[in-house]
Formats: sequence, C-alpha cells, structure tokens
Amino acid sequence: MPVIGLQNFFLLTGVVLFCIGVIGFLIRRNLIICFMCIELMLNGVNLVFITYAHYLKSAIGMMYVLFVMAIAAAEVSIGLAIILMVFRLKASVDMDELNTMRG
Amino acid sequence: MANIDVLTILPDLILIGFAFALLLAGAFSRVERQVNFNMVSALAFVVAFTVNWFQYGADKFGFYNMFMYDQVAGVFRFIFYGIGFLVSLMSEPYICGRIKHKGEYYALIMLSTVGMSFIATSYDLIMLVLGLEAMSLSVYVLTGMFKTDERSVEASMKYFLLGAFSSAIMLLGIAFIYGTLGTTNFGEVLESFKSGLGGTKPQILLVGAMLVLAGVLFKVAAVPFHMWTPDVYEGAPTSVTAFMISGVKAASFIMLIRVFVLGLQIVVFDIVTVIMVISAITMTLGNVCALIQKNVKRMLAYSSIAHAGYILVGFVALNRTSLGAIIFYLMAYALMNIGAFAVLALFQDRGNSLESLSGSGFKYPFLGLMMTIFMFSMVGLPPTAGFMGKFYIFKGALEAGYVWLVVLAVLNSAVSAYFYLRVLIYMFFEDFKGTVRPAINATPTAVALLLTSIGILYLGVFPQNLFELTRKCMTYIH
Repeated sequence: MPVIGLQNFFLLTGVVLFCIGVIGFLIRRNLIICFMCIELMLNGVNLVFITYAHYLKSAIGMMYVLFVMAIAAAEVSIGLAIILMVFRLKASVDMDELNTMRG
Repeated sequence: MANIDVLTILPDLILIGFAFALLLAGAFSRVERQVNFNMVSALAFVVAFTVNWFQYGADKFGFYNMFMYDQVAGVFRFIFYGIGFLVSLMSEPYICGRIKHKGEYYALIMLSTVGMSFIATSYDLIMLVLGLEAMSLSVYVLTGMFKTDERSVEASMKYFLLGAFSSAIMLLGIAFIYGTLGTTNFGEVLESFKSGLGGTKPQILLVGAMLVLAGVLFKVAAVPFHMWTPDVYEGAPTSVTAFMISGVKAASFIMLIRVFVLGLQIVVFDIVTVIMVISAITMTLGNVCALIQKNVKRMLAYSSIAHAGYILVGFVALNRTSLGAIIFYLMAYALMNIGAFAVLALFQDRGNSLESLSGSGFKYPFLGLMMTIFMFSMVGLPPTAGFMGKFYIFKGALEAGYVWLVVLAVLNSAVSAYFYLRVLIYMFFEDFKGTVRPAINATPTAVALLLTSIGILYLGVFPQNLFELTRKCMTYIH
C-alpha cells in the first residue's frame, strides 16, 4: 500500500506520544504521574489506531479506539482507588515508599 | 457463520449472573449474614463446569466471529472453572475475619474467571484484550483485598502499574498488526496475509508481533518481565496468590497459543527463537533465586517463574505432543499450587517463613502428608502429576530436536529439589515451635486438599487418558 507523508506524520506523533509515556513511566517516582504516563501511552495507541483506520478505510480501528477508551476509564477507576489506599496507609504517593518486600 | 450464538459463552453468562447476585446479596447486611458465600460460589463453578461438559465437542463460532468455542477452549474452561471451584473452597478460613464484605471477594473471583474464559474462547485480538483486561482488573483488586495490610496494598499497586504498562505495550503491537493486515480477526489474518501482502512479511508486522509477545510474556512472568512476580505473589492474600499462580498463568499460556499458533501463524517461527532463549534464562533464573528464599510464598513465586520456563520449552518445540503437554502441565501445576497454598493459608501466618512451619508435619499429619504430595509433584518425582507433565513436555521437545534445552531443564529440576524438599525438612525434622496454629473448622479446605491430592496422584498414575484428550484437542497444528 502506498505510504503517504501525512500518514507517517500522524503515526510518528502517536509513537512519540507513546514513547514519552514509556520514558515518563520509567523515570518518574510519583505514582500519579506514572499513572498519567500510562494514559499518555494509551492515547498514543489510539492515535495510531485512528490513523490506520482512516488510511485503510476500515472501521475496525475506530472500534478499537472506543474499546481502548473504555479500558482506560476502567483502569482509571481502579488505579485511583489503589493509589488512594496507598496514600491512606503511607501518607505519600511516592514509589520509593513501596519497599516493604525485598529479596 | 455470522451470527450471535449465545451458547458459545453460556457458562460465562451463568457465572456473571451468580457474581452479580453475590454482589447484590452483599449490599444488604441482613442478607449478607445469612448467605454462605463460598458455597454459592462453589456451586456457580459446578454449574458452569457441568454446562461446559455438555457443550464440549463441536466447534462453534459466535458474536460475528468474535468467539470460537473449540475443544481447546473447552478444555481450558474446565481448567478455569476447576480452579475457581477449588479456590472458592479453600478461601473461607483464610479470609474469614480479614475481609468485611465476602461477596465482593467471590464475585471478583468469578468475574476474573470469566475474563480467562474469554481469552481462551477469543477469535479476534480485540476480544482477547477485553478478556485480558477483565481478568487483570479483577485480580488487581483481589490482590489489594486486605485494605489495611501494607504488603497487600503495595503488591496491588505494583501489579496494577506494571500490568497497565504491559497492556498498553500490547495494544501498540495490536495497532501495528492491524495497520499491516487491515484486520485482527484470526480467521481473516491468514487470508489478508496471502492476498494483501502477497506472502511478504513487512518489518512493522514483526515489530507488532514482538510487542504483543512482550505483553503476553509479562503475564506469563518470563524473565525480562518477571520483576513484579515475587513481590505480588508474596504480598497478595494467600488464597488470591493460589488463584493467580494457577489461573492467570494458565490464561496467559492459552493467550500465547491462541495468538501465535492459531492467529498469527505467519510469524510464529520468527518468535520461537526468541522464546527459546527466554525459556532457558527463565527457568535457570527462577530456580537460582528460589534457592536463597526464606519465605515460602516468595520461594513458590520464584518457582512459578521457573515452571513458566519449563512450559515455554513446550511452546518452543511447537508440535502436537508438546502443545498438548502444555495443557496437561498447566492442569497439574494448578492442582499442586492450589494445594500447597491451601496448606499455607491454613497456617494463618502473614510471614509465611520457613521457620513457622517447623515440626508441623508430625503435629498435623494430614497437612504434612498433603504438603509432601504437593512438594514431590513440584519437584517432578513419580508417581505425581508434576512428573508426567515434565515427562510429556520434554518428550515433545526431544521429538522436535531441542536436546540442549531438555538437558538444561532436567538439570534445573534437579536443582529445584533442594528448595522444595527443604520445606519438608522443616516440617518433619525440626522441633515444633507451636507459634502458628492451623485454622480449625476448615472442612471445605480439607475437601479441596483431598481433591487436589487425589487429582495429582491420579494424573501421575493414569495420565494416558487425559494426555490423549489434550493432545487430540490441539487441532491448531499437525
């Protein structure tokens, strides 16, 4: 299939968003920021899906985007609840505080 | 073929119904006091198991080719419902008094099982992702079920962050696969590979496949992605660890088989080389790390990494014997782990150190005998299911010519004897300290222990029937 400049541009944006999410997830120590980085990764994936859906003229990619958004919403509700539990116990949302288990 | 066939997911619908009923019952305090949640949950799994029993056999497509219920899916449903049943039985004495609303606990176990069964039945990558998320999200919550216990909450947080991270990576892989093939339906993938791409494999398809593989290997707990395993398995409530170590592991292996042997067959030979290296490293590292553990749960967590390595050997061989052996091994593995964790859960000690088991073998002979059977099965000594599982996997690998991998795996099992048998040495040859008492009134757990040990011995002595069944159902490969 012909590769068009604009398509590559959108794909690149999606992948760059994804990579920013990965890097942020790996280097930041704040649980909420890490969590936001995961959302950023999912949105990068969404952009890739929607670009492919547009250029392949198929609706499957758009369906994927809807499902990924639903998954992200479910993850937000559970993730924030868990972060809240951590905060109640440790009074902090720092990743380095999660060090009870070793070995 | 394009139709909605509710029968393809009928047992799962039954489970969902029971789960919602339990959640509702838990919402009214007067009802909550009267309901015997673990028995209702066990009943739900028995019903689902029976329905699956009558459905087993014919291949069925459903929901516009989103689901394909074939014999592999049927066998895996038996495994998942069996695991759910045994976990429901063994949980009660452990969570009693620790979890306020027990309805939620059992409902989440059921919903997670539904997710696993969706993975095993899926015929499209999107269905697979949804099943994966349904399974994982329930398990994240189950891991953090002890809200006031630091380790449980910490395990839940770690599992959630890394799990969400890995599923995002997997989704990017699926996006690339969709971009090259224009479809993610397993049936259409091969066609579009032949017609659209003319049999060429673009690099981006391989990149997508590798990203999906990374997501799957994270759930399998294979080596570069194993960091979460010891912490999560140690911190989670013991009954939940039993559920994860058996159920989630089985679900991730059917995911591996379903995606790469049934769906993306076109790239399977490209990833086998990668998996071969990973399996060698996984089993060695798991066993070496397990050698130095003082905590039984953590030791079993590292041993689960090692077992994932053995099972991956079966995937590398990629013939009918070895893929059937994977299913057999997963059954055996589920039985011995649920049994071992049920014994640990009875010793209601959050530390789970080796010392806390000292001398308990003679003091409580029934538990001692059971633990002996489970540990022998983990090492892979005859006449237990663990031995036959390893035997079939290695047989398949030898047929495919991977002699060095089998030699490495056998050496690894020899090493593993040290840390499994050390548990028994503490139980039988140390003085009883009397610090930890097992729970009394645990009849369901005793039933679960009996069932698992009988299962292990039966599969160890008469493995032929079941192995023939698992080998025959593996129709993806010839």
